[in-house]
Amino acid sequence: MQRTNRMPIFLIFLLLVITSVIFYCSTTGTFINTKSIHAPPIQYCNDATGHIPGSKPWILGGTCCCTPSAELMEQYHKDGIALDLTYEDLVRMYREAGITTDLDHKGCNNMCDHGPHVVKGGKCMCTPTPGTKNFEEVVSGVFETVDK
Amino acid sequence: MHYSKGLKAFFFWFLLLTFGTVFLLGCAGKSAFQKGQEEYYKADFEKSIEYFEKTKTKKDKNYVLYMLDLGTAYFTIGDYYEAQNAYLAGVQTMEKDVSELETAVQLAKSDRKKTYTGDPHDMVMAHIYLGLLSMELGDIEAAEIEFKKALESDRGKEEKYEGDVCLAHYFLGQIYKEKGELDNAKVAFRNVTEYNPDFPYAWYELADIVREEHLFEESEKLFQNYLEKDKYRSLGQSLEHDDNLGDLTVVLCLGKGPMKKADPFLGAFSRVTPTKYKEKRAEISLSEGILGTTYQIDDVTFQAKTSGGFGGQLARKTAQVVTQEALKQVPGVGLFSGLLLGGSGADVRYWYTLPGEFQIFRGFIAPGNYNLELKFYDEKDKELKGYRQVWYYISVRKGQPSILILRSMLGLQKT
Repeated sequence: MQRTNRMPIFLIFLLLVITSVIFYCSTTGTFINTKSIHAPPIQYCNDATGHIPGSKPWILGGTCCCTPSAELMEQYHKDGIALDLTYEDLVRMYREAGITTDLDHKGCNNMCDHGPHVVKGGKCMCTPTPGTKNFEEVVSGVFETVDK
Repeated sequence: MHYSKGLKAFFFWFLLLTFGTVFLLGCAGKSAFQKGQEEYYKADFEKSIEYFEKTKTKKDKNYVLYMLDLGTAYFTIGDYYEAQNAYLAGVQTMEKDVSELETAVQLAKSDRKKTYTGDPHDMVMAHIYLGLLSMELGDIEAAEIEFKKALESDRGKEEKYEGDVCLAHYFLGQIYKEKGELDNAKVAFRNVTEYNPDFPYAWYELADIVREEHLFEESEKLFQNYLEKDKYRSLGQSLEHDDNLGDLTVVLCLGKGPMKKADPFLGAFSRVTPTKYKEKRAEISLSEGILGTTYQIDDVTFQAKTSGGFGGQLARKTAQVVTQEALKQVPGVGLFSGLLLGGSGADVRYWYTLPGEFQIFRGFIAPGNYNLELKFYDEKDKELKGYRQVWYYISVRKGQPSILILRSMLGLQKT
């Protein structure tokens, strides 16, 4: 009796099983989000996180990406930062560097023409939108390199 | 059984050609618009926007739908600036008056070939989104206008369904309260309790305002309603305000919005049909413990089903059939009228990226930056693992309400 070759049938069966498993997983949500509840520390503050006392303005090489305001300037001065600068000076410095802030426009989540965020190498320092991936990347300083 | 080499080769090329054709047709058959919609529900919003952006310059019959979907994709990714532009473009097109000639041409065309001018609930939802994003941008005046427009646009198919969008009433109540217009705020919150008595936070607000008016007994009754509805009591066990706490609101755009199908009995008319989705609520917690759960404020499918439009649809359809019949009698035109104008089939176009419902969580918590965890549950209250979301650095501040807007979606946070 001639022995039949069952390999092709087995391969087709295997292929069907794999396809079914992939299809099932993609439609029924076997995906599990393993994102930790513990966030990396805040590296860069902005209007949404609130100012971190003692942090220097971004334009002076610091980690504060808060929108310039008279109130913020007062806080800087209290912390002994940028003592020789006024609020107007700070705004002018950002404008001269081509960096946009919430004073120019709001709510772009750094996706505007000036984006990405300065932290990511762009020219936009508008407050990113909380509850988005971009917000977390900008605040933590942990992100994939963006080509710009 | 043995097959000749020729037969085997034939089968091989036949299968390759068949699958190849099917694959190519599948890829090439989809428009940028459809691809954008697909990517949206795969939670790849950047790609979705890329596709939707391609439709922006196409000023064709579906322009309104392009703008509404583009707006929602930008809204979901947190680009409120572009979302606003897209929604406004959609709204302006829906509001645009068409010339008489254009009206006559539109009247004769089949629904599918007509310029999509939006269903009544499309206009309502576009204003809701514009109101929400205006609040997020800190423009309270604009938010008030948009929420009012949402209510004005809500033409119910019966009087009781007119202006019953609770999200608009609730946020109008918050805006009036902030402006010190307590009488208006009271009316707005009262509307929410009438249209959606299960929504707890409107009872709380109402109790709070009534207490300001020194009507303590009524206030206590209203507050009891809040306590009964909110099992987590995230706004506290009493109406006593702790000025050291911050106010956090999470607006959750949940599930998939309704679709439109041809009516099985009246084939020329469309019917709003619910879309199935698993998530029914979200439990919100911090690393310190559970804060509470989200409560439905508006069911978008219900809004679409109860919005006016059937009367208009009937009138349009009658006029369309009459015009088409008249054109058929015109010598030389009659033969081609069907080809040029299309049939009288139902218009099943709809705003694809709308959520199925809006839900809200609200809680008073100590100021700080929090990491928020959302666990989603199905209708049997079983946790849905693939829907879990974690958001970092959510700021809660003293005396300044924080509003966080999120979207539920399977596998939203792929790592």
